[in-house]
Amino acid sequence: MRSFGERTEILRHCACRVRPAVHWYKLCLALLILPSIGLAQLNHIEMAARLLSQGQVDQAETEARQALGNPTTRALAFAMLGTIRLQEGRYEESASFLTQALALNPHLVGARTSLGNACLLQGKPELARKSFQEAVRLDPGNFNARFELAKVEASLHNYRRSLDAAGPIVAQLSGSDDGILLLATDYGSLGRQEELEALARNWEQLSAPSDESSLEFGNVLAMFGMTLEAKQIFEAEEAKIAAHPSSTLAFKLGKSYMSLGILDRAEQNFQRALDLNPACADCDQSLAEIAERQGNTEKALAFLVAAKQLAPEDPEILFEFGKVCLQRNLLEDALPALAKAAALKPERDPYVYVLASANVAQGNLSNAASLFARLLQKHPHDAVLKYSMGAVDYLQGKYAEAESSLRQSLRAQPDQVAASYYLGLTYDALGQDDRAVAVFRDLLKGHPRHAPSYVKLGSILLRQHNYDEAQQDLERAISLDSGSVQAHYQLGLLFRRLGKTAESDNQFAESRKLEAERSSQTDLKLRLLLPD
Amino acid sequence: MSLCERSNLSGSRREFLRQLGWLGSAVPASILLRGLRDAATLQRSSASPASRKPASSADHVTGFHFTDVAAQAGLGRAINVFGGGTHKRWLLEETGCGVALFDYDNDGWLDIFMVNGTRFEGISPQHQPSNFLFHNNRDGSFTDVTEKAGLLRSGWGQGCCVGDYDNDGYDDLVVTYWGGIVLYHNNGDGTFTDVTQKAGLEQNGPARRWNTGCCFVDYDRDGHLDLFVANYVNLDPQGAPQPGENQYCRYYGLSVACGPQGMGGGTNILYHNRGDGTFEDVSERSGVTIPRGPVAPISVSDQWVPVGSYGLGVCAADFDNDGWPDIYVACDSVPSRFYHNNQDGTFEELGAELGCALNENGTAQGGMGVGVGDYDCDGWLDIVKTNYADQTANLYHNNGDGTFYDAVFQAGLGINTKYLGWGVGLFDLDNDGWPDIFMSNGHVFPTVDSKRLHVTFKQGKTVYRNLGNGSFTDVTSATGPAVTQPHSSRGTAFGDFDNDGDVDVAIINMNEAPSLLRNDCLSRNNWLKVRCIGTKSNRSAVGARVRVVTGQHSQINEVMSGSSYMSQNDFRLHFGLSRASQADLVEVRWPLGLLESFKNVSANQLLVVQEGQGIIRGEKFGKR
Repeated sequence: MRSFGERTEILRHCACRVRPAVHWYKLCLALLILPSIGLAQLNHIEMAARLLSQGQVDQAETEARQALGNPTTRALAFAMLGTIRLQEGRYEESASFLTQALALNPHLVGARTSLGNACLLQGKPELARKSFQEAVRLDPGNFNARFELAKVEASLHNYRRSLDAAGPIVAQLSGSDDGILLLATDYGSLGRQEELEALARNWEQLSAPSDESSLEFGNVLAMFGMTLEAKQIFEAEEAKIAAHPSSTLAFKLGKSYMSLGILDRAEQNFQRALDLNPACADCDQSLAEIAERQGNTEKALAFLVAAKQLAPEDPEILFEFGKVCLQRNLLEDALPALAKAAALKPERDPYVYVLASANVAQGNLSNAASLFARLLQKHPHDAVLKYSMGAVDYLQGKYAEAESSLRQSLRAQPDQVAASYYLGLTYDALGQDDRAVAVFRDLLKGHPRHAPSYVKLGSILLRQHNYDEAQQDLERAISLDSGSVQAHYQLGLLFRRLGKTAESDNQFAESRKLEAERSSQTDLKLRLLLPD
Repeated sequence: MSLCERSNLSGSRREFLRQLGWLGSAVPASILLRGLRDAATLQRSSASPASRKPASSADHVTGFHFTDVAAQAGLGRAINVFGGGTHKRWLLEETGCGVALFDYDNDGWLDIFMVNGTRFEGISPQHQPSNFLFHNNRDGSFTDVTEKAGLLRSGWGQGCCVGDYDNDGYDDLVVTYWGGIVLYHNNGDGTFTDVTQKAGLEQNGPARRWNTGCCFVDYDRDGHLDLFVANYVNLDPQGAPQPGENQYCRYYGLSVACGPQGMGGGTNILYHNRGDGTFEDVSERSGVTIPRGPVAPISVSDQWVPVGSYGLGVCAADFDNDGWPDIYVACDSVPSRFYHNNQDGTFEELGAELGCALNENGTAQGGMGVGVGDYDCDGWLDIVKTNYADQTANLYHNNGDGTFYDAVFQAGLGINTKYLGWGVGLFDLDNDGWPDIFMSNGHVFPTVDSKRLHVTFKQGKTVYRNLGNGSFTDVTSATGPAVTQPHSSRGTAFGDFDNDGDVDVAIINMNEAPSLLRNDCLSRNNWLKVRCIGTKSNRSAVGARVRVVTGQHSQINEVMSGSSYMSQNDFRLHFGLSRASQADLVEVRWPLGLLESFKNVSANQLLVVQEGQGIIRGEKFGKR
């Protein structure tokens, strides 16, 4: 399901594409509405509009400023200047000019609509909505004003209001790709499946919708569960792209397939995009994501290395790179990348969390504790964070604090294996054997296959001379995890206590063998060897 | 900020949790659990250079305070020389030296012997570094009498141990080397004679043996001190791989001296004292050669399988209270060794089986130094072992049934893994009747300082105060800047050099002057020292077990040769009596079995006890 933000992005894109034509249209309307304008001054406005349409922005501005001198054309002149600024991407100035225009003449519908767009582009949707609403009030039949209002309502997740605004122009909207996109979002969000399906049929009737619109429509359908229809659209686009290769479109198609979970197709398209544009860091990142989903972290890492070389300051790439390095135990590479990502985006809690985890892996426990504490300040009752903090406290030997954090975590979320396990370890470290035993026994009731708990329980019972139960637990641990060095070692100690020398020797031998194997694997301090 | 971004930021708590949950699976508890197994890493030491400050109120909480008086004591010129100062090419340059606190001239005051090393390069023949012997002037200062005593010698000195092997009343000295050992006979007139050859202790094999920790021990209870010598690695610098050459020669991306991983180990040695001033090598038939190292040096670049001893610190003591001394060897990167005395001239290596070879997880650690004492006063000697960086120490609690368990976490020592530990001792530093723990630390690679790692080459010491309930608290920062002053320390010896009734510490600092930490014990607690003189038993009374009872509290200690890191502690056994003005009972079990007890012994004195003669004198000490 696409997030609201992503859907908003789609709608904003629609607005941007329509903007230039709409502005010209609005200006013409404004010209038609206004009476009593002298021919000479109107000529300046006319000339400005003509020059603007030809792309001669500077000359258009000169003409518009000429019209400023006459009070009767001043409002239009400001409106024209506002339009010019909008075209130039200078939204704040545009809004200022348009506001001045409307102060002089509140009935300039076009200016109002343009102001709404300026507000939208400044990230002020509420103000934009007010402008569009006023434009519609002034001119209820104004298509563009209604369309803009409907779009901004949808972006604010007011889908019903969006449909209300679009109501009088639904027929027209159903005949254009942008219009269908808006209606699809509204219908889908309101669960009006039949109308959504009807739109899918309408889409098929459209003559030559753009590739981007097609992809976006497919994404909307996918978002609302019409995966078959979405896939058909994507496949059609894929055939078109094959004839007219485009890296951007291939990338977008990759994203689309990914949203459907069709990873092989997604991978093909990302690879195609990358082949067409080797500098596409996003392509590398997306390919890495697919590899990760397929469980191939080595392949993921290769792509992320490439992405990082292309975009060394991209926080998301740095984060993904660091995360995969961490999974692959490449701590010396993980830490700097994660630290940088968290520094670039300190508000991204997952970045901070994974950085903290990497610090734990590296053994920088005080750093990890500080990072977890920072997260806990924002989310003081989060069970996972409480557990993480408790585990780090334990590793630092702060057993009282560990006990407190872990108990709080378990109160918030009782069935946590890791938190319970660490609580048991904490009680053991505090010398509170009975409590430790109780915690492990409780944990094992709910998770009877948790081998480490059997090992720990067994070793405590061994210390307490409870040999029978200790033996049962240690043997159970071995049956669940035959590679547990500790289980074999503790069982060896137990057999020794019982005078079973042969059995004891066997267990010690197995423990030594496993330890040697483990050591040979961890002897290697892994580090990426990056190409020069 | 665009609408798009804002939507993501205002993502629900559910989304945050979903991400955490997903990331939790990417960073599973196994990573956090690995921290438990591998232990937390070093933290960069933030200790600033020592500055003198008067004892603060915090010191009274610990009851003791250390001041480094090495310079004013005249030890400042006894600079240790051991391998490269900024870069070490071979493993041999890392181990450092031991130190002995012993009274070589029987004047009642501890003297200091410091082993010294050398370098492969940069030493002129005219200025070869030598070991040092400093005579205690009894006024807080010492005089260098090395040459006068006949102890000038250069070489890759490792450790030392003391014992009166010929029972002539004067403690003799053994110094171990890479390439041999030297037995110095104490002539009783302030001089020593190298009697290595005469005693049959020359090592004439084809390869140079790397002798490390040693201890005198009367393993067969014939009244004569025998000699146990640990061996570390079978090393040939000429054939050894170079720094960075393979995985065993790298440390956090740094190229470092290789080993001990990747190399073959040495083989331990036991010399039986014939009683006539000579020794015979009984290593094979005694069983201490298990595990045996290769005859020739070997080196592998991967899939290393340990072969041999890899022994460093050693100590002999009666761990199972059967009256026969056992031998414990701290070993590096392999299981440590516990040689149980079979009472028939042989030993059986049972470290792993008895639970004192590995940590609780069954993992071998980089064992360096050994401290022996009864930390929980239950009448059974426990073992504290220092280990490599990123590892906890071990505190092997003696269960009283011949087995041990590693109580390092329960005892509160597990909080520190940022140090690389060497010398260690279990001594009552505040005289409250409970042995505390003191550890000397320092890394092996000077080049760690070139990278912003979690470790530093020079490190402060760590001091743990015994709380009397089976656990300790880290009081390092409250015991004076001399403790936190960073050095790359190695050998450490414990004893009362100023005869003021507390336990001081002498420390070898690699490539620096030594430290002599004077304990200014601030508590008003009382104490008792016991010096045992054997008659039928060996004269040094090595192996004598002393028990001191005050009220309901009972403490034991044993006269030991060796221990700590290749060092030798004061033979006088120290007991803190807390507020008791007397020891209700002092019991001595002599090595050959005689038991003598004395009641109502006044506190604050040195009790000199002779086997079969009882208390022959008491010497009052006091604060200077």
